[in-house]
Amino acid sequence: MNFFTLVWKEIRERPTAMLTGLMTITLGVAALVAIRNVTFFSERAVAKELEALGANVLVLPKGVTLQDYYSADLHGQTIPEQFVQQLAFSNLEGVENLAPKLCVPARLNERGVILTGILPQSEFQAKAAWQSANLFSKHKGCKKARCDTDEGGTNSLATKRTVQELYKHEALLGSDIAQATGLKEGDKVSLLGETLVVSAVLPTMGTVDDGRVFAHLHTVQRLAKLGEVVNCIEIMGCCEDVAQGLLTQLGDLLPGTKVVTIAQVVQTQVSINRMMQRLSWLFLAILVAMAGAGIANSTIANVRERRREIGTLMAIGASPRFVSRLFLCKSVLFGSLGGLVGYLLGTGIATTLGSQWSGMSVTPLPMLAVFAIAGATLVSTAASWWPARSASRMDPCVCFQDS
Amino acid sequence: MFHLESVSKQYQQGDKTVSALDTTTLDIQRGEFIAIVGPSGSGKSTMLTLLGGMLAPTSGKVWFGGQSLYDLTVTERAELRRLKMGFVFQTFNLIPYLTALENVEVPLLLRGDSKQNQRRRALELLDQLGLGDRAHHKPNQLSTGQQQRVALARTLANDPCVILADEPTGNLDPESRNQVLAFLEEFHRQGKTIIVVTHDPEVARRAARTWQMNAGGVGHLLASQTPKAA
Repeated sequence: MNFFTLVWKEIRERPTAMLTGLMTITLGVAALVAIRNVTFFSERAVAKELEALGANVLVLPKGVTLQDYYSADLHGQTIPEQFVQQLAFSNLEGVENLAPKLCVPARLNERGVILTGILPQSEFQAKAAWQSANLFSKHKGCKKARCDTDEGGTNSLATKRTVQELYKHEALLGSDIAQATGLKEGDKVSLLGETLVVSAVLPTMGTVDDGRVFAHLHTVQRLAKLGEVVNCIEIMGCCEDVAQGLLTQLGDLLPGTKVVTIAQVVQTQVSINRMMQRLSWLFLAILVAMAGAGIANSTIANVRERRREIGTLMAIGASPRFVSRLFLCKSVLFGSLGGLVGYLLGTGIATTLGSQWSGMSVTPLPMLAVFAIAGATLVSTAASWWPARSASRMDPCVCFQDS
Repeated sequence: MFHLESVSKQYQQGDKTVSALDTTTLDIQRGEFIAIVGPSGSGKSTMLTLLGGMLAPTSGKVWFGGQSLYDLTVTERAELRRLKMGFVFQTFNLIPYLTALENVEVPLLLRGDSKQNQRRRALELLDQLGLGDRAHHKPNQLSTGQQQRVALARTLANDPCVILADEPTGNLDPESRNQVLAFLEEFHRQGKTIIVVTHDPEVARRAARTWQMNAGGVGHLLASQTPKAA
């Protein structure tokens, strides 16, 4: 027989106590693992979304309240178009593109649509060449792939929020509008009393842009009789690093406007994630305390139940260290097993229910297994330390008492 | 082997001080068979636990083999018990979830013996005590007599030089009692020191000396006797 046989046989002798102890640890670990797992993927989803949108900064009229990034121009308030030119030649570091927008309601084939005026990049380049000036200035040390990417075609409206070329008699159709009206490239459409040619149908973006019709900014301004104004200017930075710098510079450059970063727009989601993260730490503290108390209680009960056995072992020569090891070994076993089973259970809950509830893909995080097992073992051992110590200091005379 | 030098033990019960063992001086020689007798509450078990290094006296010194027992640390006393002492209990005190064989192996495990040595020695002892065929039975599958014999095998496992027995026949039927007494006498013949706490006059008669204890823990030696053979 060895030491572990002695521990194992005692555990088997009291299966109910073993299951209760194990369940306390397992459930605590499972809840924590599930929360951490879902929070991790939620944070990653937001980070990915932010990354996909780039370091966008929005310049808006002062009084606008913003709820959704994609409908930042749907508020009816305007700022002068002159701001666009000011921005283009202001040498702002790291700016790749500017996308001014003006939205007006219109009807297309008896259907209400949003006609959005956009300014193609070719206009900026033409003005830059005409003024012999440099358009934008590069962000020094930028390592992001977005820098200097020159994606052509209508796809760039989805990825870079602007198009390279768009003539004043042309229109671009959002995918939902094209599908609803049956219009295709080359068709003619009548908008606000003027006939425009559909130069392309945009790919599906999964945003409000799918329901828009895009035309040249100056065409929309003329048709809507609004003058040289825009609803918003989107500024595409090359990377997240420039966003904060841009905010300060833009505030100085355009004092009568409201400047917000995309990170601020998705602040709600970020806040929820942050709250979940804090909650998970709070849960950690509560569960650690609960599991610890449960294990300590179960070990105290076990010590009480085994008083005569401990006394007998001490009478026949067991050292105090041997006695405390009997209980601590059991705790290590429960902790590691509870941590492992809790990890598996928590991961199972997160990957099935987390995916269903949050609509995002949640996959197992193997690194959590290490933390779960190590944490559960540590808590279990710490909780058993005092009862194990009291067992090792027990008066061996209890072995002479009648059962 | 043992020398009790003005040893006393008092307990505190609320405001009252209770004397469990009055000032006692006693010598127990190596290889001696001594019985400690007396009514319940006279301090017999206190005496045994003092001799076993498990209960520090209030005053006086307990010497074992020339060593002051309570000047040793708890761990050192545990080691002394592991190597030199064996205990027999009235209620056997077998570990309920271990088989007879494993119960006998426990002192050998504590001594650090290899698994093979533990098994060999435990089987040898169980055979010697007539329990070879009960080696894999748990205590609740054994009769009281068999349980006490397993306990005796466990006591002998580390080949102690002194056996401290607390009412070893108290819970046994006459046949089992005679068997246990015969074994104790056999151990005595092998040169072991036997100290038995008992109510049983028959057990006391087998001892060479009897230490009589009375209420208040006052004790004295009865006149030397000639042990009665089994």
